[in-house]
Amino acid sequence: MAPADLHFQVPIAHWGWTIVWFLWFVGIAGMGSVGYFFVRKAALAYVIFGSLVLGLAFVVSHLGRWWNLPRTLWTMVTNGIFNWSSWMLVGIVLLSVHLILSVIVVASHIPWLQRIGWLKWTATLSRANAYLALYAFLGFMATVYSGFLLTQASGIPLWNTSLIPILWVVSGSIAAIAVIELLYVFGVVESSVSTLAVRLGLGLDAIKLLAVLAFLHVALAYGSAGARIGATAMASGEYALMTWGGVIGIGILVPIAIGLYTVLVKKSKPLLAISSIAALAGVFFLRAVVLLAGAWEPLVL
Amino acid sequence: MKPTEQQAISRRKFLIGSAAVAAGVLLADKGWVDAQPFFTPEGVDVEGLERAGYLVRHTICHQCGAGCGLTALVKKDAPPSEENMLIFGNQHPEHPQRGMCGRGATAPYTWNSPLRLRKPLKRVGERGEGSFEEVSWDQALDEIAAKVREIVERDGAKAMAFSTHDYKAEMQLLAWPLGSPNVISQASTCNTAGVVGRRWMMGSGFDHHATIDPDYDNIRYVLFPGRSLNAPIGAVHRLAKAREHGAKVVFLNPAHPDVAFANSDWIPCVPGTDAAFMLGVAHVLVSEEKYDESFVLNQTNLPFLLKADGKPLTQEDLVADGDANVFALMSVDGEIVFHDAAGIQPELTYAGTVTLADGSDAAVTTAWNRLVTHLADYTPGNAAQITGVPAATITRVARDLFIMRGVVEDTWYNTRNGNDTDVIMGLMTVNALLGNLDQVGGLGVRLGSKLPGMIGRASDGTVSLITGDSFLMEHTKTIDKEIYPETNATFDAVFQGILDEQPYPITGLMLVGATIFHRDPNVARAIEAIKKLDLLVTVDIVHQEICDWSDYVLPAEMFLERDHIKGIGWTQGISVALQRKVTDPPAGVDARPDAWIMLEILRRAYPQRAAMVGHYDWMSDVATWKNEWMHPIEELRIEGLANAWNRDPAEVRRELEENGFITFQPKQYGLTPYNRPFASPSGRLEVYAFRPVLRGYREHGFATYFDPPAYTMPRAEDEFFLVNGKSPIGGSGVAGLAFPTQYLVDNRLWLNPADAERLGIAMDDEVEVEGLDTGWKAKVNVNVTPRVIAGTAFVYSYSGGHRQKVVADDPRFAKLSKGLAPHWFSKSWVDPITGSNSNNASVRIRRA
Amino acid sequence: MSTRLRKGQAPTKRMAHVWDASKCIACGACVMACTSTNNPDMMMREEKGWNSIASNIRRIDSVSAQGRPEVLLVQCQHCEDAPCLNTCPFGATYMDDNGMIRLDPRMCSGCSYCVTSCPYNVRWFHPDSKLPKKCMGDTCLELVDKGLQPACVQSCPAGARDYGDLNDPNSSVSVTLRTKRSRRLLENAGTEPKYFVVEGS
Ligand code: SF4
Ligand code: SF4
Ligand code: SF4
Repeated sequence: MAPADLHFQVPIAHWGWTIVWFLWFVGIAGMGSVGYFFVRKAALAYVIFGSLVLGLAFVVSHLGRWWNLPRTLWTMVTNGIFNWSSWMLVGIVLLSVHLILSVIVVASHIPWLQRIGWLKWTATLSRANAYLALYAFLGFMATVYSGFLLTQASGIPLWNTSLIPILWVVSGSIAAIAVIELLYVFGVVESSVSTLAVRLGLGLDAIKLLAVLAFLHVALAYGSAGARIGATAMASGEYALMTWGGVIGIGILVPIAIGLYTVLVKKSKPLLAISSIAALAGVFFLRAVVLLAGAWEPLVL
Repeated sequence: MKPTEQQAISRRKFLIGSAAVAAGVLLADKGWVDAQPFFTPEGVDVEGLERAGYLVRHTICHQCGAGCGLTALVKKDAPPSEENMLIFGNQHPEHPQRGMCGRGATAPYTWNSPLRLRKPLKRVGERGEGSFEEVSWDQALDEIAAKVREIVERDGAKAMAFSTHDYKAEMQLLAWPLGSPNVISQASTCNTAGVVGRRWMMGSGFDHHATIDPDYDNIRYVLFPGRSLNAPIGAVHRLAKAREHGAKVVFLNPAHPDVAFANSDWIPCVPGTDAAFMLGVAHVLVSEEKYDESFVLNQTNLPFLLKADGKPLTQEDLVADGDANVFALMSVDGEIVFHDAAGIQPELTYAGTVTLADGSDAAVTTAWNRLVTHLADYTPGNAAQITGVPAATITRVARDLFIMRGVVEDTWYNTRNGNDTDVIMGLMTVNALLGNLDQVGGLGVRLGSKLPGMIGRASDGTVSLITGDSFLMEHTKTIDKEIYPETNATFDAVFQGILDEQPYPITGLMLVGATIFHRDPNVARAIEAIKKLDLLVTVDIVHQEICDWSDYVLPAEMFLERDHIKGIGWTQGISVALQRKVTDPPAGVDARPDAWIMLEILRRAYPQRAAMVGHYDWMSDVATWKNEWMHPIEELRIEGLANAWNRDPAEVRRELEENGFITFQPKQYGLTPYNRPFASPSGRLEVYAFRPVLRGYREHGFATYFDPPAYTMPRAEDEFFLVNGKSPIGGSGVAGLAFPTQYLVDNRLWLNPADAERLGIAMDDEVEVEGLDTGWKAKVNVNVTPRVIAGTAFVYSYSGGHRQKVVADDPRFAKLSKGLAPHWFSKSWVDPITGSNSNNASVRIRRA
Repeated sequence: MSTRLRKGQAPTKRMAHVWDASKCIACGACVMACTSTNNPDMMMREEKGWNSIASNIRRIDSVSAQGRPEVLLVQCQHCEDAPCLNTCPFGATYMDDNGMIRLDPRMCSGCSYCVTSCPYNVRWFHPDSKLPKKCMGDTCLELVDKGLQPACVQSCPAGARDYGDLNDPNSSVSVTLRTKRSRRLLENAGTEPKYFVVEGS
């Protein structure tokens, strides 16, 4: 029987689809920055930048009192109140810095900007490995942050596991690889890179599959009542279709199948396009199910 | 009397301790911060508040009929609004009935509710459709008066019937001068069974449900059979204190009452079997000799002698010219003695033969002997079979009652299954055996307050007002009493008058605060009757479902808007309270006093008859009427009260205004029946009720269990008893329509998990409920809960199934239309003698 | 407004709510009084997320393991190690000198992190101001600052509620907690809640 005190978070806390989009874009941008270290293509830089902007737009639009943000920040600064124990504050800082770095990287790729003399430094900086390593690191940290954001929300036991940041990093990487594959499809990236990416993606898909199953298993077998409620909603309840069909079927099995075909039989651009889109969708679905299935620990059963 | 210094202080600082703080609670939020300094833990500075522009107004809550004490704080010279008044429970530590419960808390919600009636309404569509036009008071009253006149002239005054929950005197102001005796309350769907049961055992004057009550402050053990104690909340307050001292509270009920959440025992039982439970308890008390022998011998009629035919042996039987109202006992010396003699020492177990006045011999035996035989059928084992309560529980309850010197509460709302009078007789049998009457921690008998009424009628038909106006009524017997000889009020008789025109036709009906659709069983039949009426007028505060069926709907003042003095019930001492006007109606609400409405209809129909009750055309202005008619009457009532207690009327008024109440006499224990006999034929607690036996209503005078006659017994596995009860949140006609009630009162149908599993019903599933007797079908969601015994379904009354158009049309209130009204399913079975109706039903439940 | 404590500062008082389940009759008076006191603008509006009236008190009906019907009233526990305070990115949620967890509306941007962080599910969003509401409400805070009792305590007809200082051994709440059996909710969540459920004497 359902517990007497059963509440999912969305109707009350309103962490719904806007946050799903936010987490998705942050994943793409974050792990995309890591990918950029290896594949320094303008298109990739633009995707990262676009994702960041869109992600931030979503998250700000989600703020119930976005119009109060200036006053909030002003009060924080003037009173010297910085709550560094909040992952969200850490995330805000990370994303802001990452956005600045991203702007520089983007600027380095825009020819007409590079014609403006005093902006040349952006290109210089963007060619420095140290800078791009920092860029990658911040992207990675932003992805990790977007996981710990949920882990720290102690009202929702389903989220209170370090598997979430791991899942976020793995699936973020898959998203970044999918973007690189798409760039290959559009002829931006070389075939050799794409082949490498497919192989890497296969491995990550396998890890992700394991991680998702582990996430469910841990919650169902060892989680508290609230975690079980969430995991049950994911595994066999309201969100089962999204979990098995969206996250696992579309998001993992389809890319694995196409990846194996590519590696073992032959490479096909249309198939790779499908596989990339499926992988990106899967990453989106993963964030959606985990978020929407979040429920409070029932105070009584 | 000169006020002592003590009184002076308590007058200035009327609220003590936490009380003061209570008042402070709502201040800041209303921007009343400047009033706050006058609230300190030591008390409230009333005079200071007055100087600062705030009035303290004590009043009596009327969100249900119990009348708990409330206190309001009002801004002087400010427009009426929720912002300008604060309402909280009267916190005077001596207040005998201090509020407030979840119903009282809805008073501010009701006052300016979107469902509040604002203007007189005249029906424009079909009856039941809910289409109205707003009309002026003049138009409404003139048209109603013309119609009343037409009915009176065509069908006779008796054809006009009146019903109300609480405004009987106000309605009598119209009915009696018209010549109609038919002011008939809702009693038969509420308390009739208990009233008749008490009257049969203790006599008139001891029969009202607010007269006999446990001494909550000192209670040690109290059993509530079929009573949820949802009101009065003052009793809960006092019980809470008794609990601190270890009092045990036990509820016997098919459904778990809310008050039982507070560390109480709940004994689930099959509906309609409480009498068997009580007799089982009595069986244990008698067989284990756990009874108060002195009480049984001296205060009950158990030692009285009965003849073989079950009638009491009287002086008339034994002596030529003897008195038939004097009863015989056998003394321990073997002498026949009469009950009116002093110093009787009766034999409890005598059985033998006596020689009657006509020389014949008659076998006689004491009522006690017959009780022992009677109870032989009610072993705990047998009672367990009937009630579904384990025999061990029945035995334990009996022993606990005896050991802890407990009492069984005498119930309030008890007209449920058609066998309810016997429940009250059964529980009073247990109380008689316990002998714990009018003792500390026992079942106390409250004395009358001596507060004179506004209008009264003598047995010769003379109606008199407290003002001295009087006139003679030709016909005084109400239509229900023509059918049901023992009833206190059976409204079903009015339906019979309308539908069957028996014993005579009723063609006009006027209702004040009477929510027919949530009050009278068999709604389909009520609708049929209503459709046949020539005139239906409803006076109310909020738009009840009955309004949609009325030709005219008139908005009445709510309690926050009126002055009135009333006795306080359900207490031990003798107390009177003042209902003081807190505020005017909100802007846009043109509400009028009930009494004025009645008098104006009378005046417009028959000006001379209005003059008989002192109402004239120049009183059609409400303010003038209040000054010239109402105010003098309230003053006369206070004067009468003061005189009766040898107090100065001005002082009585002042004290009422200052504290909200006066306790004229604290509880005097050991009075009734020890020094003040009951009004029963024997003057004792008649465990063997003489009255119904002597009048030929019953073969014997003991409580008996029989299967509920009020509905077809559920038999198939998808058939259930349907019972209902009140919540202390929405459990009244008015509070049932308050906004928060939709959220705080469950309007689902409760089913026991065992039943739900058998029928494959899960939490919140929708089911179809069909009345076995009425055939009424409705859909409702289910709450699967162990709060109801298996085989029974439960709903809260008043909180669901509201079908009026305004509710359906207002999304804020749409939830009120969900759920069910229990009266759709009950068939309105009325006991032919007591006139007691029944609210329970049997239903078939299927997954929708 | 009372003092805002900085990290590591201990409050002078540790004010706590006590709810006596063995006395509560589930009459809802406190639930309604809370709304009309602290959010009178919400008197005719529902709290959609909880499907309830907009009160800082949540009522939960349940059944004990022994099959006994139970009611639980939940409100902000004023946790001594409050997750909502730890997660608020803007520092809008803070503890005051009375040990009460409060909100500075100037610093709140409505991110809802405090809502998802609270293990007790006691925060709800005001539909207009979008502020996360919870006990204590603004009016109750004013009352308490003036040494008065909050609305729920005052409205209870069964004497089931109390509010007082745990640091004062003579306060009524301290006495109650010494003499009666009580428990805290989600004891092992590490939040150190200051809401006590009295279970009996
Ligand atoms: S109960 Fe919730 S809102 Fe209250 S202090 Fe604890 S975490 Fe914060
Ligand atoms: S203290 Fe005030 S805000 Fe908190 S629950 Fe009680 S009434 Fe509501
Ligand atoms: S007011 Fe008191 S009795 Fe009523 S629900 Fe609240 S705590 Fe319980």
